[in-house]
Amino acid sequence: MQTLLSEKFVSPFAVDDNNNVTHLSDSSNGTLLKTFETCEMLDFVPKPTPLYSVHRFQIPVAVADNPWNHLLSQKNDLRTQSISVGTSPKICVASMPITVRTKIDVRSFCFLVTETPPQKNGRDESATTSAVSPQETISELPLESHQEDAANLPTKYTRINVPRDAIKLEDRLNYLLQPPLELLLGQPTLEMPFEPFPYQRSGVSFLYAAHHAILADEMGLGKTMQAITTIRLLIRSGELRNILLVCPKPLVTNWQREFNLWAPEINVQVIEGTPARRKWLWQLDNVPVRIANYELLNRDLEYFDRPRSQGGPHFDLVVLDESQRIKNQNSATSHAVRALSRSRSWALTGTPVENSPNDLVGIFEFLSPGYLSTGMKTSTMSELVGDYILRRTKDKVLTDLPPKIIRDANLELTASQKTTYAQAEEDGTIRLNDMGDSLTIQNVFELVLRLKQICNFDPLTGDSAKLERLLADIEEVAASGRKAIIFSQWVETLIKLRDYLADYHPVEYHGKIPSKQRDDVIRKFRDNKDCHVILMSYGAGSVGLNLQFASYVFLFDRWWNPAVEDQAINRAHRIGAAEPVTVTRFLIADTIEERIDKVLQSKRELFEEIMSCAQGFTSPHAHALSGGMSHGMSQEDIFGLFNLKVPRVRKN
Amino acid sequence: MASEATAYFGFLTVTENPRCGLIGGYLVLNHAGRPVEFHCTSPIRPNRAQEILYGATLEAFLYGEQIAQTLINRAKIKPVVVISDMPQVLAAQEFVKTPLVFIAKSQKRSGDQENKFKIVPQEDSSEENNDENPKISTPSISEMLTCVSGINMSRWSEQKVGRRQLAVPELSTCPATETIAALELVTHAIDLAEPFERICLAVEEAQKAA
Repeated sequence: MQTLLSEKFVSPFAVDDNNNVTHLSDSSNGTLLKTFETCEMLDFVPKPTPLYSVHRFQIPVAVADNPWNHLLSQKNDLRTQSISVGTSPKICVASMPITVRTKIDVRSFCFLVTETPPQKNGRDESATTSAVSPQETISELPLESHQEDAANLPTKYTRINVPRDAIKLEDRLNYLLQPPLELLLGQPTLEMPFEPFPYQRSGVSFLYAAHHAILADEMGLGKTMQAITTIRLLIRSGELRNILLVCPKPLVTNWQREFNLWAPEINVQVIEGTPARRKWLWQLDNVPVRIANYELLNRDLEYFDRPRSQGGPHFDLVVLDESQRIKNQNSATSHAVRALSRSRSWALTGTPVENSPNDLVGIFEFLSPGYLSTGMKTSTMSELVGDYILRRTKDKVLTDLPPKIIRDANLELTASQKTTYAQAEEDGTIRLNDMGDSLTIQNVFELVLRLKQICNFDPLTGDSAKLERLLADIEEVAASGRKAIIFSQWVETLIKLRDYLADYHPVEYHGKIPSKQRDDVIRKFRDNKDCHVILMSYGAGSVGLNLQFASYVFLFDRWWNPAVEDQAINRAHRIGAAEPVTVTRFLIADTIEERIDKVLQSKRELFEEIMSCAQGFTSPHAHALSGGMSHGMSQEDIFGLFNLKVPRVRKN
Repeated sequence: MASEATAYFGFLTVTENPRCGLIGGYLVLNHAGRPVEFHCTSPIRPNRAQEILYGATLEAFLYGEQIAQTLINRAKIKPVVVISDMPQVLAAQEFVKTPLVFIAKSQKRSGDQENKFKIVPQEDSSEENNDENPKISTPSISEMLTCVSGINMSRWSEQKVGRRQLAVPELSTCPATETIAALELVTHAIDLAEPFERICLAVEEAQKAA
């Protein structure tokens, strides 16, 4: 029930919630006049809109007597008056967009991480147990060791190189976002026997992402260690599972040793034995690293020269050590290595170019066939290969390495040697001249070798000017408790020297020493205090050996190519050398030795001059060519030793 | 908290490119420091209205609420902790459950522009403090953090993990001690200040490709 608000009807009427009049009262005193039980529509409600209606109005009312009736019948006289109050001021609203949440575009990249460190099977277990098993979770390692590691954070990090041939952004980011090498190599599950040098970390960084690469560091800078360490990291990251390493046969045991040192957890299998066993070894797929030698590749071609679809082996990586072996792209060895099915190809060599820039073409036929071509301009070639070759020299990166002192021992032949030499040269030259157009380079070679042998020892009397000097020097070496390496190109010369040097308990390392005995030879030379001398042939001992405990190197005779001599010298002058290395190069004056030396020297100088003009290449690695190049002797050079001209037919 | 072997760690930073604006980068690493996810934003630049109306809280809004929140939510993998070298990013803690840790790092990154929030070295106060090479006064982490407006810094406490100074949040869902314990276990594989350099390189590379 509510009271009416209208002034005219408020007093006498009351209405219910449905606007029905429910009773009528006297507004003057509030006396209830009438209660309506039911209501009907009343006419007295002002038009046009009746405000209230009464339904079912059944009780008679004496309207004539009621003064209200008059009032109710009166029409409303409502008047309106409008007063202008003026227009309201117009309000301008300036809206500035403040987006609560701007939509930001996000580029997302996901990377596959497969940490699958290899397990060593059936190998030296002591090596495995010395390292923390990669399977261990980090929580199993003592916290103190973590904190110690963290306290030795490097100030500068070596990042993995992003190869220029990585085109896809995702691939490039995958390399960029990898941990720096200092952290990868510093993990407790990855023990390193020695702390790598910064340049070695750079080498690992270079190889890590490379699918085609030549690591052409100067001998002694640790190409082996860099390759093994990179392989180790790539195996652990799951990027490599199946690797083939090809090296010269004498270096197979050296590679095994180095793997055991730098990656003891990696199982290494040498491919050797009977044909049936070798065939089986080629097909193995559960050994991460296999080692084969170059000679074996030629024999086993049928075992691997098949497409993968036909069951041929495929390698994630093939590494060629001493890759100058394939500089001649027409050789059987070159064909054999190119037949290996592989995803990545690396070449290791201290001398990427031995004789001419075309040597590089041969190596690149293995790395990336067709990338270089024979006869290409040196400058063009340098530009092309710059991204794929990394070469450092000791003088640049190993400033702490003890110096290498080179002494040229210019000697005179003994009287008997002189006589024999003069006779041999005269007879030989006459014979060569008489041969006319039938003269071959082999004929000239024979004379050269004959004369060089006389320079070593007089075949008639056994006299040797070099031996006299050598004995004097070795006596001094032994007296100081040091060790010396003596190189010769002839095993016969080495055997003669062995007898003369018996007091110094020499050991031998050359082609007549079986491969299986060679490790013992090296061990004896290193460990036996009385053993002061190792006699080595250039062929067997000039590459891959670590003899840094020797302080003296004697080149009893000279090789045809200074690069090979450098390799030999660097057996001793390499990382780990504790004291200066003294190199004595024997050279007999006024003989074929002096003539050969002059030819080689002039060619080296000429080449360095050419390459120094080419240093302005854009690539930082362009100097790789110049540093690694050292010319050997050409056909013309060899004929020229005796003032002979190359027969026309030979020139063509 | 996830076991250490399966734990992931997020690293988030924002670089400023004078031409394009702010670019956020977010890297998720596994316990060995290997990348598993990387996300980067398109460049954003505040408009004039935002600059005026957000005032001192603008950076917290852009770095934290907009960039960091977007990136963290975008990743498929949820890390145990997200580390940032920018205090403004901590503003995102209001919107994400993962603890956001601030690290004071020393190296000035390539591409960094002058910024009033630039972090001053705070590695080991005991070293390199000689008269010949006087340092500009080095504020503490809390001083650095309090210069960021719009973030309630009271919940972060200063901690040291390895050689790095951190500000670690105390969250109801993840106590600071748990966060510290997770971080200490990976300091052998991850230098906590190093991944930001990776992010900057990757952002730069992605920008080149864009």
